[in-house]
Amino acid sequence: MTVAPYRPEPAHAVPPRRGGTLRVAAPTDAAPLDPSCAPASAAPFVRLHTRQLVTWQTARDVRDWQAVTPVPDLALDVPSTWNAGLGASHRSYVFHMRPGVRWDTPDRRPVTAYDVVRGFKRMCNPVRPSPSLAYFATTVRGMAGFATAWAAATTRRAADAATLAAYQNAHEIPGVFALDDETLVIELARPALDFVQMLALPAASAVPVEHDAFVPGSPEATAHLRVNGPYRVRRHRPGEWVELVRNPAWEPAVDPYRRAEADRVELRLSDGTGRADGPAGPAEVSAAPAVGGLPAAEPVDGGLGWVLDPYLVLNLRDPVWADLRVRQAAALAVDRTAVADLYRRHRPGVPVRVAGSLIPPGNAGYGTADPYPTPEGAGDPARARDLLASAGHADNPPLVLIHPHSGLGPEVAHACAAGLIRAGIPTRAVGLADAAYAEALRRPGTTGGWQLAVAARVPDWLEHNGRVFAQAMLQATPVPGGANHGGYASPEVDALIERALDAAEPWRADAAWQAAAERAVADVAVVPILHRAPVVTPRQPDRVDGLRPLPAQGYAVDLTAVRPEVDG
Amino acid sequence: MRVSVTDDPATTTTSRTGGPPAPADPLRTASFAELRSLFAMEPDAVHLNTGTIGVMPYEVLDVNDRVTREWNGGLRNVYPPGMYPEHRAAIGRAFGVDQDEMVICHNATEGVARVINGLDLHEGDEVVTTSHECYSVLSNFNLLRNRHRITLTVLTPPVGPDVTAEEIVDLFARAITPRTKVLAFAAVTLFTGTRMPVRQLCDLAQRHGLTTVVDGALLPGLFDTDLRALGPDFVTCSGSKFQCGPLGTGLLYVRNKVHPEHNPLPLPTFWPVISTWYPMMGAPPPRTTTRVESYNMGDYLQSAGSASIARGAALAKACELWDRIGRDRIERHAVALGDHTRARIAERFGVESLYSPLTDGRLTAPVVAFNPFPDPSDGWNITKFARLVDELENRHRIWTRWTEFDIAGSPHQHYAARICTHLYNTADEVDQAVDAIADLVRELS
Repeated sequence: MTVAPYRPEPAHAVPPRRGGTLRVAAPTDAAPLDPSCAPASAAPFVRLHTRQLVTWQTARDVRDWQAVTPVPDLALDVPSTWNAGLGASHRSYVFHMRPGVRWDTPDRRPVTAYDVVRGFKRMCNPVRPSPSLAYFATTVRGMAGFATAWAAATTRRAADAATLAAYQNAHEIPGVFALDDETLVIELARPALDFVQMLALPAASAVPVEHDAFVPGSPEATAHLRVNGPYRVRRHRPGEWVELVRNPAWEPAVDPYRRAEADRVELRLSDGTGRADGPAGPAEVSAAPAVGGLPAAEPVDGGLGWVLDPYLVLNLRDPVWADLRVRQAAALAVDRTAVADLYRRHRPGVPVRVAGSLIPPGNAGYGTADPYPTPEGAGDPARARDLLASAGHADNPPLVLIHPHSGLGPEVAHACAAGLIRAGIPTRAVGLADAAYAEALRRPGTTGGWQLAVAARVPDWLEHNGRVFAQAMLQATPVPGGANHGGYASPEVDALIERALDAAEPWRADAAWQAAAERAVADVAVVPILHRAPVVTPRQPDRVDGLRPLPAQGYAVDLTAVRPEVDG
Repeated sequence: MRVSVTDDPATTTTSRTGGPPAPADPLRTASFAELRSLFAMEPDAVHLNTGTIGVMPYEVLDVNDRVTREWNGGLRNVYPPGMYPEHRAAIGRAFGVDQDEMVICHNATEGVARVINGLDLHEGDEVVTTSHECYSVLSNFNLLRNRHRITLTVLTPPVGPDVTAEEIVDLFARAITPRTKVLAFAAVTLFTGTRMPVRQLCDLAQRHGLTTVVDGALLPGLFDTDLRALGPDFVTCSGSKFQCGPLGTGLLYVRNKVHPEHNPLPLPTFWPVISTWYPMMGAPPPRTTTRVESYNMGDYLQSAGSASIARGAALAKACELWDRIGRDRIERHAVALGDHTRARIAERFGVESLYSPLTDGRLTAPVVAFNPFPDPSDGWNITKFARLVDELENRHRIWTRWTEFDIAGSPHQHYAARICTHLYNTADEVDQAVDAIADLVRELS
């Protein structure tokens, strides 16, 4: 299928008007504004108010490779051997802070290296650890130990803000320290080809001391956020909406990569049932749902960053999956072609491919091996039944297949359930509001029993990114976070992941990522269903302008650059 | 004051590389105070950073200027002089090698890139090197790693006053595997000023049938060196550091014949990348197995389009001046100053402040790296070292530099202040620098 390239936004002959209110529809779980616990998918929202050492620039043309390479944000430069920020071993990074960046505190205090150190510590908090923590904990020297020790200490104490802050401020991550206000050192346990990309994640944001007064991720933390980006939170109703207005302490002269076109930004949080379009009219921009991507979006033809959308998570903590043959039966039962057909119906023009592998095209470690091929990808219920019979699997209660209400979650779940039932695996699809669904994946042990989940995985960055699939989804880490929702644990796969993380050569890392993914799919840790091309929001020149995608953030729109219609 | 130095022979002397007695030369007996006036040095400035860039003698500047003007306009054939046949022969003699083994290139980085990319390496072949190499060495080997899928084993050599040559050789020996094809190391490391045991490492390599690539950026002009006798296959050198030639000059030694007493191994397969005169069809004859070359590898490498005739001539002039002064004298002077530097640093900041070797005289060079700060954690504080070097320049007009490197077993990137001494430096300058550093350390601590 030929994909039309994304149309670059035309240059304006006259400067566009600034101001107005930008309304953004977002899933409730996608926009936790506290950067310490925000997932990578929240990066476009966190970008409104908080900055990191490095960030991404928007792409007028999504095929522009410059847009997938981090650029300096709070840092003056991206450390390199050339600028003496990176030594020969690539294990020690020196960042010099950009002068003039300030918090919106009454004294407009400068953002310092110590604030970045605090951010690193806070992402390890045991109450609401960052979903990206596993990336950092396996990379930054001493960070895993810091996180596990904090978690262990917290089981013996209260987890109120004061107690958390006391622990945080009394302990250090050995590999993250400030030399002074302007200079930060981050030492790695081993060189990482993608470390700079990781630093653009929300988790790596600077955090001011004022945040110590609030439990990470709490409504109070969101209500009292101190910010250094173009906007600050003015009002906030948890789970419903957030109103952001211009941050008077923000200076565009010291923020090369963000704009502040709208006067106000309204985040209308939806639980997936379409509540986001309020009385003030529909939203100008929508965030992608967890499954299925945006409707009416334009596919990207750059070849980078395809998405695993959807796949099935097997909750391996449940004994029903103990026998490999039962898992194999599930893999053979799914009618991927049927799912592909429904994507083509609901997302016309967006290329999808039936997936046999975990890592999609355009990502490091992509491979085409499919350990469970079926005729036309339509499933093989007869083989599935044989496997179930040989495993002695019979007369079990229906499995619970959870899915989000939003996007194509319900359609995918019902298609998968039909295939499973056809193969002799009774299955019941259960829809959840987005926040509840996210919580069920994050904390499967405390949110009721489920055996299967419909999910999707968008890469958190695009270069050297094997870990965003294989590590996040498969590694049994001692720290929380990541996307290993099913609790998969395999020493063999973990060893392959370690090999990939240890590799200094991209090709060696890619081979190890691919091997890890293939091994896990053979184990049926998950069931890949489709690989989908990334998409971007099409321009809507009648209502809004300045829709510039951020390719490395799932091709999301840079909300700081959007120009809503301004009266007069 | 500028001293006029003539070629008028007055006495006789002998060259290190043999040959008939040369006519006496006043430079051979001039004091180092007198020799200092040969150099276009800034008045009241103390230049202790020759490891980065040396000071050109006035005569070298003059040659560079004169030859540039002579060849301006293109009325003569510029290609033959760009092969530098006489200069290469003369420079080769100074370093104990022949014209067909010596190349004048643009700098040590270009030389090392041409060597590394000319090696006949394939997927799975291993190269053993160190994390203390110049980045141009490591980046080019990484290029091969990406291009040919070689394996790069990067060792972190021991540092400090008590390091011995045997420790270093043993470290390399333990890293050699059946797949190892190349040992690559610096003659003098730029970060810690360790004079690597080149001959012993070449012996080790020869015992294992390995090719040796030596980054000799700090070698020429500092040490009186017989490259052939050291036993390596390749040595790449800077012309603008201790040799005090113009920026953008370098030397490249390529072993092109077999002298069994120095290196009995067959010549390695080598591809002279960047060459005009490498055959356009067919291939050169087989590489020699004797003391007589089968072809002029130096010419293949030297022929690289139009050359900077003036810079080559100026570098040759610098080398000629060194030969007249006496490379052995220069080495003794610089080394003595290096020893003085180490002693003063040990006295002021403690022996443990030295990253450079001290007790094993085989490893010492007049390139001295140290941490003058009393708090050990300042050893990984880049801002303090950067400030120290800046303030030495701004307040005292003393030019040094800071370096960064790994230390085995330490999780940190370490930093050092580095002092280099050369023929134009004095003990007073070293004392002045050490005193100024001590004052600044008190202020910065």
